[in-house]
Amino acid sequence: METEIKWAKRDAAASNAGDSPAHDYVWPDEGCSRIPFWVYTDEEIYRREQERIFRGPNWSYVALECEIPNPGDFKRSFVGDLPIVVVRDTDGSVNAFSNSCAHRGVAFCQSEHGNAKSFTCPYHHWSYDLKGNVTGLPFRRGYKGKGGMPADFDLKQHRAQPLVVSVRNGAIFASFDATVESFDAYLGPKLLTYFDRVFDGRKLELLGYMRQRIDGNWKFMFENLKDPYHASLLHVFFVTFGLFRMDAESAIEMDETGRHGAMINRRGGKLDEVAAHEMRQTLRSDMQLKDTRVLDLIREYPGDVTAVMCTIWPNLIIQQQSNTLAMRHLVPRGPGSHDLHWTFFGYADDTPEMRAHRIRQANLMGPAGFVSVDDSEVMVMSQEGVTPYNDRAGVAEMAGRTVEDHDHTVTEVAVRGLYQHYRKVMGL
Amino acid sequence: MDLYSEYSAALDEGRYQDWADCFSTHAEYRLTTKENHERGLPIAIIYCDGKGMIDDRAFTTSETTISQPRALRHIVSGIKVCADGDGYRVRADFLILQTMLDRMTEIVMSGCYIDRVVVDADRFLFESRVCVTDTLLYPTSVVAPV
Repeated sequence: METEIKWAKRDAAASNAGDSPAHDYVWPDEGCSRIPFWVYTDEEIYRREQERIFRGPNWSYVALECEIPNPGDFKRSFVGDLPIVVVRDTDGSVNAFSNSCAHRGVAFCQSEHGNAKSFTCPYHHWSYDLKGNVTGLPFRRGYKGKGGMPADFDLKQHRAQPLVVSVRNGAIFASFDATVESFDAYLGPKLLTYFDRVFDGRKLELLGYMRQRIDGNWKFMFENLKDPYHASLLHVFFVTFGLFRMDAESAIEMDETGRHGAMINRRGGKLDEVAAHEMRQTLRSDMQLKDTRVLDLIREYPGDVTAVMCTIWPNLIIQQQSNTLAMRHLVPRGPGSHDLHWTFFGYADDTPEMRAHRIRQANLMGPAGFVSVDDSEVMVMSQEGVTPYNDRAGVAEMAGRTVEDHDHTVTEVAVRGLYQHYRKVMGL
Repeated sequence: MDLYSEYSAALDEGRYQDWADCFSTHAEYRLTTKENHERGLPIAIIYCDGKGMIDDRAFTTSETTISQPRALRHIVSGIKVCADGDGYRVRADFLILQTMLDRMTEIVMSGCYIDRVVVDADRFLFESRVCVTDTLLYPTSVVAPV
């Protein structure tokens, strides 16, 4: 017998044409196994995310140390959608401050990267040291006795808004909220182990950048890396070549809060018949690569795990798939769009062969990646589907309705973990 | 000239194996940004080292990539040719336009081709093509070679 599906009634927002009515942000009763679509579409939710998450007590990824190796080296970066500057100070420490002039708000740093002794805003030439302190401004005392700042104007009261910074084995994180816990405590022991697996203290080498703007909510990107279940179905390339498959030994792990996650996979061996049947639309038995070097796996970490994708709340995905390593930095651009900045790297002590291999294997990833194109395309389709139907909710019930670690990847548990945390932070 | 128009037509018409056949056996193909190129950063958005990888990219583009339907069009102009030993060094500007359902036609990227073209039997082939894009932020994804 056909079961009747009851759609939620369109709320007041839909019928109350004209003004912007107060939205009832009522999370569905089923809890974290349901995701109301307004979390992907609503301006007010977006504003609250920026305030509570990106300006809140969280560590956001901002740069790699190898991007700014020398004193004075700087890089433009973002925490949420807030532009910042990350700088190597003369004493070797790393500073971060808002890229917004203390005077009238101009985003004074307009170079992607560079080396500077100081920064000067182009508008009224307020100048800054490498800590973001205002060090001077023209006409402070006026000209010929006229104009100038008031006598009690105190330079020290004006500066580019500082962020606290934490550096761990070559990766730089920052927070607008100085009350944030230590980075180690923030990651928790489990995720810290996975973090240190890639960032093991060896010097890193910057290999280059890829950037894309995806017209889908930023949380779709996080969900994607917390949902290994899709990988066995959407990604023909992965499945066909066994790089990621649900019949391979795998796991999904989270920190205690559910905000961070690790998707752990081993390459598939002989394809299991049941799995093959479920993935029949994805498997391409006719597909053979002429040049299989892109698939080569050079063992470089202890154990037999071949891929660990870490989602570090709120803006980072650490990619280790075979020998391709990258930081995927999320920059939200309003409810319906986000930028993804990929920074590819290797280790400074890589052999020339390994370095060449990493560059070759990068074909798997990025805006044209054999695998990642599928994801970015699907995120746009997601946004197209949820925006007009934002009175509905998504279902995340694969492998249950609760949150705990799973020793397989036929699960959406980490998506539930994410929303369990999200609801708490957002007060939803 | 034939090589250049055939190359664009093959891509715009989704004939990716014909695109691959514009390259010589040991050809290199790279798509990268101006930023990576000028800073000497080796990563490429697409990187093919040899005809085998180029053929594989042609196959995956049409057979394994899941993407929204779209029409792409290459506009190539300002071709500058220099004789170089047994081949030619060529530079050309490109612009790629994209038309999708429910969207106006939009620009995907602009950039320049830095090529080495050789003569093989009766036709010209790319021995090397490096596509350097002015575009640093790609809209959604790059679903096909450039």
